[in-house]
Amino acid sequence: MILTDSDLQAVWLTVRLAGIVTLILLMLGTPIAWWLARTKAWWKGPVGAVVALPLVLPPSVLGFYLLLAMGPNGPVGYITQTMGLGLLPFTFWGLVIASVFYSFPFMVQPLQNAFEAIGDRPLEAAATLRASPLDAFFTVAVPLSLPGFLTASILTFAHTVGEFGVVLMIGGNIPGITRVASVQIYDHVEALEYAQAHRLAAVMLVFSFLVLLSLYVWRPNPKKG
Amino acid sequence: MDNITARFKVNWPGFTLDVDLTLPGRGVTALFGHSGSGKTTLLRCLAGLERAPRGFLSVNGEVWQDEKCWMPTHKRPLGYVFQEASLFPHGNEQLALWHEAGFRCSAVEPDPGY
Repeated sequence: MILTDSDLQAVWLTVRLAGIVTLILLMLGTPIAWWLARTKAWWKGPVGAVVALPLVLPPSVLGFYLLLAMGPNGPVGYITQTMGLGLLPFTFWGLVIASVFYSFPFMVQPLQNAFEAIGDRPLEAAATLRASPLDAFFTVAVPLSLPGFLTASILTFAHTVGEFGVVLMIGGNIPGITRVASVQIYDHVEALEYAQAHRLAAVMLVFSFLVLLSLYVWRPNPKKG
Repeated sequence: MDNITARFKVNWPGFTLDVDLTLPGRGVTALFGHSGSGKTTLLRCLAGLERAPRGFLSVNGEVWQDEKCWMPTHKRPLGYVFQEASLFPHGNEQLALWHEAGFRCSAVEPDPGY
């Protein structure tokens, strides 16, 4: 095996983190993307801008604010402490929450584009055929935007795997809990273990390439349903 | 009570619809007019796809729209044939299912004004 046990542990942790974040964002991001695609409210603009913020913010800025919010004096920290959950920073679930924020636009924006591409007409036709809005969403909108769901999920997963700055700010570097693959590579380099850094980095490179290749080569056809 | 009463006022930039109609509640009613006269908009208001503020619509004694109430499209017992084919591109099992719900009155969107 080319990877050491601690490398494998970091890779497994990364996959688990990215998988959980993708599932959470599918549930959180879908209604927001749907709202953004359909609403005519004036605050669509501000909400869209907030959703896109993690695209341009340095991860350290996002991580810093999340650390403050989740810390002992922050509002989130206050809530988690009174609920008896303790503090979130330097825990796996703290990392999950931070990653949800960090990867938000990668779920919402492809979904929003997919929903906008459907247009009003299929939904109007569904309504005249007695489909309630929820019915129309699941039987018309979801099948028509399946490629958007796939793109959004793959991008969210891959982007969470590539996370580094936010992890350092929120999670630190605890083996098996918050030490994800990108941090593990950083550790190897810091310790001048270039050979190990190379192996893990190569795994990440191949993974990222394969993910993007799948996105660019394989386009599901919604019309075959 | 066997009729359709519709009062709609729609004001869009460059387009005004102002109708006050009483139509028979059974049989076939044809609506014609030149391009842009508001045939489609009126039908969309009847179907609930367009919401004319302060409009009024009652069908065979049942109020579908007034100041207070608004029956959403999917609760209105109607059939609507769009001007262009609006089949769902991903298959039409649902279409068949919803058709089972049956039609009581139907609206057919006219060809563009002839």
